[in-house]
Amino acid sequence: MDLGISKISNKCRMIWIGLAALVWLSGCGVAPDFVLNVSLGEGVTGTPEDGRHVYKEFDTVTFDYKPQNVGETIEVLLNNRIRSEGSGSIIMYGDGYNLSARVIDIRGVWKVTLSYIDGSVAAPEPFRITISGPDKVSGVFTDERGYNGTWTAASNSLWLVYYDWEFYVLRTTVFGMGNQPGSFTGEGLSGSWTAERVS
Amino acid sequence: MTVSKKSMSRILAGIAAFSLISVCIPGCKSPSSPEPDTITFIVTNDCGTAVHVLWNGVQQLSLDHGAQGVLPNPTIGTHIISANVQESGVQVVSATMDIQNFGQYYFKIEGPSTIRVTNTYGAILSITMNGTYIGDIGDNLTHTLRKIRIGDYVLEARVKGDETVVATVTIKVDGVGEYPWVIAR
Repeated sequence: MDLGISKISNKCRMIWIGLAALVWLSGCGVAPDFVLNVSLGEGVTGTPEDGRHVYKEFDTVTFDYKPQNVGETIEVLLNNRIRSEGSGSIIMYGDGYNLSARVIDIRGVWKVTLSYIDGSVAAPEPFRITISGPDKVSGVFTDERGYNGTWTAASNSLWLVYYDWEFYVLRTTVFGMGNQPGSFTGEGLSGSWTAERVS
Repeated sequence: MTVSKKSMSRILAGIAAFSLISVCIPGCKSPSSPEPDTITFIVTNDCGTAVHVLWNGVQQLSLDHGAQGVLPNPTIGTHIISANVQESGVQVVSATMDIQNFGQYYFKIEGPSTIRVTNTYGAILSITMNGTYIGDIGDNLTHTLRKIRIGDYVLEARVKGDETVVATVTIKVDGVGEYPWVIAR
């Protein structure tokens, strides 16, 4: 009899231990599933593909996107806030992340500010340029002061070349346009410039 | 107690070593912080050739292109600084310096000339100078390149978007002036 009670007690103990282990595993040891929604714009290829993806917490997701058209540049946005170039990685710290990738289109109106290295040269007042063209890699631009030029955006390298303003050439990256300063030369002088998108 | 004494002696030794290093290494003294009652006048030669630097007409420095020198004993007051090409004696710059306070002053001898390019070719041209692309120029326009250093310059013109050279010239800048280049078909 005693032996029987003892057997039941052992079984109960085993069940309790098993339940406790399950609770511990579900609470601490097993990472939850997190969703990553990927949205790819027109002309973008790469991985992860467009759609819903599930990863474990703390998984590192490597992304790599390329433009379908030669010379175009990709920008990637995480939750519409964190911006990155076409290749990189994210860590799944949370659920419901949204990753979008699109081709950068610099066409539009920008306010340009020049700053000369030579402090004795007075920079012009900030001026607006309107960038236009048949595609996202080249075209023409007009300057509100009456100047004109051509632009090319070959694989993230952006050149704005005036043909009627004293050999002025403005260089930057497509990805950096509006965020990082570029460099310029003109009249035999040089300096840096920034651009701010107006429309 | 013994351990505490050791620690104290180590700390004191560290402080002493740091103080000694700070005092003995000349690089620790910031060059941009001269003594408050002195004038430091630094001249940089970027004009393309070796020059003599004159201070109130008296030669004070000889600087190769790209070199920097410090004028000996500048004083408060109005002075004339000038630079002459060592080889030819041609004056590349002359400027009045009004020094009213102690401190650090900089003077750069820049390229003294200009090149003026006129395009009458009939198309937008892309221009290179010594192999480096400098920009475009529209038809019937003149563009100026300032601060040209003394030296030789090979300029080439191509119709924009075409690799073929349609005009070329070698300009020898040996003085102060304006050097024109008219591109015609």
